[in-house]
Amino acid sequence: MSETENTDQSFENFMAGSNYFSSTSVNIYIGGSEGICGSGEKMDFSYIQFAPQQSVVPVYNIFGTLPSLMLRGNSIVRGVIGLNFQLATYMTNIEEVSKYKEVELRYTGNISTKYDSPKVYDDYLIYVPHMRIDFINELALKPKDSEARVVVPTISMFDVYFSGGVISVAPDGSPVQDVYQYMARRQIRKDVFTTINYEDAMEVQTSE
Amino acid sequence: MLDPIVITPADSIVYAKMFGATVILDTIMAMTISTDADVKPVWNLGSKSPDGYTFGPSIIAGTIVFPKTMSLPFDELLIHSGSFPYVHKMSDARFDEFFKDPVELKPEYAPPFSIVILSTSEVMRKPAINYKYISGVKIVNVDEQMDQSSMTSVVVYKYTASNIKNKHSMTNGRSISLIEPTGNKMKSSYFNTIYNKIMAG
Repeated sequence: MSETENTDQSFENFMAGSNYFSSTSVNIYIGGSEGICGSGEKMDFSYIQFAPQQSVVPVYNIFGTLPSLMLRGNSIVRGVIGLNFQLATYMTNIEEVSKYKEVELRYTGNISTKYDSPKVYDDYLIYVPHMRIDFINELALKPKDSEARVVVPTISMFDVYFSGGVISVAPDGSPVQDVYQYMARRQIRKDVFTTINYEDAMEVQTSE
Repeated sequence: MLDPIVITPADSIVYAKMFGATVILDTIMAMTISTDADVKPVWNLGSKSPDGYTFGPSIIAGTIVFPKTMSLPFDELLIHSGSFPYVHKMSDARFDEFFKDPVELKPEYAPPFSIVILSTSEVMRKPAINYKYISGVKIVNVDEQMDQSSMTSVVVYKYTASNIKNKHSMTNGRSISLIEPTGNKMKSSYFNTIYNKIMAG
């Protein structure tokens, strides 16, 4: 049998067209570890944007038009994160919540961070050691193979400092937005896999 | 192979569940349920046909039609929801409506509730039940329709809802439990931790 004829019999090939992501695929966690899908505390964010910046300086020889070498300069990650406003203290309570959810909000990975738990300096500055974005498509699919896996791209940011908390309100009934800017010391991208487990809690249960 | 079981409107009972009360909406004339997901095709350069799809937000929407009565049905339901005992009928609220104070309530601004549709059929080899559990039902529009040439004037409610679950079960006479669909399996409990702490003072 040719490879083409066999295409849909492989779960990975069957899922190939579903390996693109949109906002519904994005889950953001604080705490946990880099590269471990679903670890940490899931946060209710409505918007995220970030830009890793690395300055590169070209060095020119006086006789040449092309750079002789490229020097690597400073790096930083800058970003903006928004949430649908629910509580004035949603972000500033994170240190307090970490006393109750110590396991979830603590960073357990291998990167050196300033602290391993969130810290709130004041209403203007909030520190979290690790924030991770998981890109996972929750498809309505029950694979026959119980070990079926999907690839989950993840992006982790370390030593993240949030500032701001800009409230934005429009008179059209849309949710009030609470927008924070942040800077992170480091970013790591990892593609990992997770095993699909579509245990359905909504299944009708019968009892004697 | 078993014959497919056809469910007719007469085989179905519609319940509203709100604030801990469950009420049979026995005066419903008609109902529609639509689900919609915003699916976008993905093309790469050099591709004519889509290489895949992304899945956007989804919504459930539909209409619920009641006959026009002295007061609007969902106004009545919402105002009496606290006093409805388990499986009280909607029509019971209608019978004594003249003895109640006039209800002035906008269902559009009421919090979301749930609707459960239980269906069965008399023509089956084994007893079975189908249920549709619609949660987060939000009334968004109320439309009264009166027509000189029509025998029945109706009130049409348009709604959107957050989650829907369609299940069936061969019960063999055993009880089944209905569990409200919550949709987001990875929902955050972070908010609840803060919220409960504030509520506890």
